[in-house]
Parts: sequence; structure tokens; C-alpha cells
Amino acid sequence: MLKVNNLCVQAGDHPILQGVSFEILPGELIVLTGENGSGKSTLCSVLSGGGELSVTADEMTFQNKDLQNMLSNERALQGLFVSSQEPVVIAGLSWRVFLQAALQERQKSLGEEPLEVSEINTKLEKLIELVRMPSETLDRGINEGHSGGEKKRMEMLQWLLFAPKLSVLDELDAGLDQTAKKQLAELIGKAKNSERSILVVSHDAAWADSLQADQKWTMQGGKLKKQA
Amino acid sequence: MDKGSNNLTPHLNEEYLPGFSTNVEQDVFAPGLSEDVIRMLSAKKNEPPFLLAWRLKAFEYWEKCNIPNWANLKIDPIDFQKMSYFAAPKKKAGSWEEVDPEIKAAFAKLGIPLSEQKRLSGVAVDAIFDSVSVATTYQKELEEHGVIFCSFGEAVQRFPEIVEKHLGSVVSYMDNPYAALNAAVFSDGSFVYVPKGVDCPLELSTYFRINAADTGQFERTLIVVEDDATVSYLEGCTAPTRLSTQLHAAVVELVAMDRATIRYSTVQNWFPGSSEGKGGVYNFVTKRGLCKGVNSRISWTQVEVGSAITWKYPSCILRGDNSVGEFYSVAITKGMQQADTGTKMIHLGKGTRSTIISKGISAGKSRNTFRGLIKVAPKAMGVRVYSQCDSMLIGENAEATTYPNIDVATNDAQIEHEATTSRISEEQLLFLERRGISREAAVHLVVSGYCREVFQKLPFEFAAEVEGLLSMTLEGTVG
Repeated sequence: MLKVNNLCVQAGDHPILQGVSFEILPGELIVLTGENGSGKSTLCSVLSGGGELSVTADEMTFQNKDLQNMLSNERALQGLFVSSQEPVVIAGLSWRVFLQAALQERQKSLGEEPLEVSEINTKLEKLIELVRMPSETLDRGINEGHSGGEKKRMEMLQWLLFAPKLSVLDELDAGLDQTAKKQLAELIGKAKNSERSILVVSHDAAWADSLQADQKWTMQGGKLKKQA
Repeated sequence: MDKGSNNLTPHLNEEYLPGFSTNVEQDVFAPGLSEDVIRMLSAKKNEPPFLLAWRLKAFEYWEKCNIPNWANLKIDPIDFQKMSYFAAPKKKAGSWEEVDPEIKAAFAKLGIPLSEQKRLSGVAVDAIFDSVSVATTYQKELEEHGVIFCSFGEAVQRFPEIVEKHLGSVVSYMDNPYAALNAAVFSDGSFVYVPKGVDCPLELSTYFRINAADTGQFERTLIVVEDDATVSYLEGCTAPTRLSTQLHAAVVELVAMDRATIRYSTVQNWFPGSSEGKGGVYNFVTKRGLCKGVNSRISWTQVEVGSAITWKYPSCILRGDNSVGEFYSVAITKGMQQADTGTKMIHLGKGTRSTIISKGISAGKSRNTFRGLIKVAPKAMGVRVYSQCDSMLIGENAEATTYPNIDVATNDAQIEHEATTSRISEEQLLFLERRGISREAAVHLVVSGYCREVFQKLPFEFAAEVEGLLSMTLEGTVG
């Protein structure tokens, strides 16, 4: 699914990731923990593309395609989803308009007919209920007036909507209440199947343990350690 | 360097889809401006004496004027003698069927439905080609409701008393030099009259097209809405791609009587000039509405994306007690475009209210200026004003300036003014890109969200058109 070999990332002169190598196989659930500033979020950000960091790697492939030659949107269209650790506010642009555009873009990239608007709306209504947000939220600006927890619920909604091949959930649990955390753990369990892999990044060791991951990794000082 | 990152380097987009020109036999005046030209024009249009007299007074005033230079615009001097003041298709058409097929084709290409079979449902259209109106649709249906919608020239012939009563009552020919020039040489335009108690059953729309080279377009629009009546009016504008500049100096006057409502929307997409700043339309327009009656309401909504230079301040004079003025504006500039636009809200009556929402978006090396005046006269008690001016910059070389002026002579006015300037945010674009949206589409979505408050004010029929125009305009503003 994802192969990374000798990934080094620098911000200016400051090294953040120092030779990170790993592989995620189809159907694997992996938990990554580590202290603040150890490089976990940088890894997630580099996988999603964009930003100002300088990145080198001997190999960084997603489904055998070189990620370094793919724009952020192309990575997403190929089925790589990275949740936002700090979701931004986009005033005036409603969730509905944004998510419709994103779904239609994906249809186009798959060479398929556009979806019926009513079909998209039904899907969105179902998911907004599932993440326990009021349905009016869909017509509000992206993250406008949302609390930290609400922003994370809307990230959950996007993750569920796109049903990606590889999910990178970067502290998606942070800021969620206990009920939502439990729900997220269940959803992760359900989402995992032989074709979908999930990388969960979390600070909460106890919650991460509850996920029954196939592998547990830790990040320390920009280096990745795999535990048995 | 990771290819996932993508710099915001603006580059210029030279594609201007309405940029074609039409070959029709034209009746064109020789270049130059003089009293004789005005007499010739007035005679050609068979005008009553009051109108010729008014034109000549305006011309006399124009000759004494100096062109103003206070706007934040760099304008090459205009040689008013090099320009022609009248251009009209040679063949005169009595009905749409007789209109020159070339002109029909031009409007069809622009997506303006004029033929009886292909009318846009619920929208009546007046099509103006260079100096004259070539067709007005749905006229008969409207007149059954007592609504008059016709070219200005026709109104002068059929309803001279209404024209004489209101012409120049809101924008005097002495208002500014371009208003004087327009009064002297205006060739055509639209006229709307809605009688007492009538809710105009259709959206009215005028489509302006400059075709002839080296010709000025000076149209004049007059809209009079009587007590308890309402109308919604929209104008659209395009011009061919030409490397010489074209002058457009229009005047629009609105009169709203007791409890009358006028919604006036503009989608302005004149040719903006080449990427090096060659050619394009100079758009110097005076638009003003008079809320003459109590509880009347005038609402201006404008989406300005074209023209090399825009100089335009749709304003409201709130004379009737409890009258309401509104201004909703989106102005997008790119390349070498310059826009100096805004509004004046003049509160004369008691309990008058106004709302100003302006969104300026500047890309490329363009300049985008908002200029506003909120004036509250000594006897206008209980005035409320809300004003919000936001500027967004795309790229490193664009310029945005805001000049809000507030002049209050009462002690109980409630005035709120907010202004922001922001750069299109890399984080916002990345947020959208990371969900599969291309950078260009992401810019469109962010800008469209930014403008949503204004777009929502446009008549429903035109909202989709504006989204399309926005995406065409933003094409190529980010690398």
C-alpha cells in the first residue's frame, strides 16, 4: 500500500525526520505514538503533500506510484486520506458545496458520471447524524464557529465519506469526548478490511491500545521505532 | 522539493471569451465632439426640443470641466476628439425578425436569448449594440401590467413627459465631467416605468455590447418606480478584444417613490485589456438612486470583473423617511486592471438605514480600491448604517486600498464599520487540495465563499452565470 524508504525532512536547517523507513501492507492497522515534536505530524503532512518543507526520500510510493510526483489533490484522488490536525476555517464556503465538489472531482478522476446531487445529500445527511452534528452544519461555512471537538467530528465525516484506501488519522481522537472516542475506535475497527489500511497517530496510549493494531510504532527524535 | 507544494505565482490569463467582433454595416459619425455633432445626433433620433436644449447645456458645462484625478487610477489622457460619438447598425429593424443576422448571431454567441422562441423564461431583455437598442423582448406582456420597458430612444418618443420629469433629477449633468459628457452625447439606453401598486412580473435585463472600434458608448438608464411598486433589473456588459481602448461613460438614474423597491444588479465583464495593459474598456459610470418616497428601498448589487479601468460608485440618496439603501459589491481585478469603486449613502430622511458589503479581490499586478462615503444630514435622526469592506489579495504584486469616509451631523446615528484585508490563505487552499480538489478549483471555491454574501443578493436566474464567470476570471490567477 505505502512504502517509505529513508525519508528525511527539514524545515530550513532544522532536521525533523531523519531517515524514516516503513511499509504499510493492505489491510493493516498501525498505531503510531510519540511525544510532542517527535515528528509524527510532519510525517502525516509530508504524506498528504504541500507545505514548505524540504523532503528527500529514496522511496516514497503509494500503490507503487511515486508520491513525490503527485500533487496533494492527486494523492487524495488516488485514495490517500490524511486528516487535518488543525482544521482551518473557510468562511462562506459551506461544507455541502465543498464536499459536493470534492466528490464530483473524484467521480471525474475515476472516469465516471457525476453523482446525483440528491444522492450526495442523502449520504451527507446520514453521515452528519452519525458524527452527531446538527444537519444545519452542512450549510455553514467550513469550520466556522466550530469548537475543537466539532472540527474533529467533521474530519471524521470526511474520512467516512471518502472511504479511502489508506487512512492516516492524525490525532483525530484529540479533542473528542469519551463517547465520540469510543465511537471512533469502533468505526476504525469496521473500516479495516483486506483492501483498506489505516495508520492511527495518537497521544492517548490507552485509547490507542484499545484499537488492537497489527503493529505499534513510536516516533522519537525524528526516528521511527517498531515494537514487536 | 516535494512536488506536492505549489507556489502562488500569479500569471496572466489572456482568454476573454466574449472577445469576438461582429461585421455589420455601421452608420458611424466621423470622430470629434462639437455642438454640431450633438445637433446631428439629436436630429437623427428625432428628439423633442427640451432634450436638445438639455444636451447643449450639458455640453457647455462639459467644455468647462477638468477631468478629475483624485481616484487611485493611472489613466492615460483621453483624446475626446479622436472618438466617434455614434455608431449604429445601418439596417433599421422594425422587429426582431428584421434584425441583421450578424447581430443576432453575436447575441446568440454571448448566450443572450432574444428570439421569440428562445426567450429566457421569466426574464425580459433589452439588447443594446453599440449606440442603439436592437431588440426588447416581452414588451407586450409587460405593458399588459402597465410596465414600460423599452429603449431610451423609444421612451423619448412615446413618453416624453415622464422622461422630461425625471431625466437629470438624480444625476445632474453638472455632477461630474463624465455625467456632463453622457448628458451631451448619450445615444440610447434602457427605460423602465412601473406604475403604482405593480409588482413587475418579470426580471428586467439589459445587455450592453460595444462592438465598433474607437467608439464611445454613452448609454443612459432611467428607472422610475411609483408608490407600492417593485422591480428587479439586471445589466450585463461585454466588448470585443481590441488593442485600442474603448470609452464607456454611462449614467443610471433610479427613482423610488413611497414604499417602492428597486433592485439593480450589474454583471460587468467588459474587455479588461491585454496582459500588458493594452486596450480594454475605460468604464466611467455614474449610478445613483433616489429614495424619494417614505419606506422606499434601493438595492445595488454589482459583480465587476472586466474593464481596464473602472470608476464607479453606485449610490443612494435616502430622502424619504425610513427609506433603505443597500450596496453589495464584488470587484475582481487581475493583470493590469484598475478598479476604483464603492458607494455613497446620503442619509437625509429620518430613520433611514443603509448596508454596505464590499468584497474586493485583487490578483496579478492589479489595483483595487474601495471608496465609500456615509453622510448623515443634520435633521436625519435615528439613522443606522452597517458597512463592511473586505479585501483579498492573490499573489505578491496586487494592491488593495480602502478609503472609508464617514460624515455624521447627528448625535444618535448608529454606525458600524468593519474593514479587513487578507491574503488568500495557503492553509485554506491546502485543506481543499488534500481532499482531491485542484488548486484552481480550490481558489474558485475560497473566493466564491468569500463573495457568498453578495452573490446571494443576485437574482436567482443569474447566480449560476456568475459562478461560471468567476471560474473563468480566476483561471490562471494561481500557478
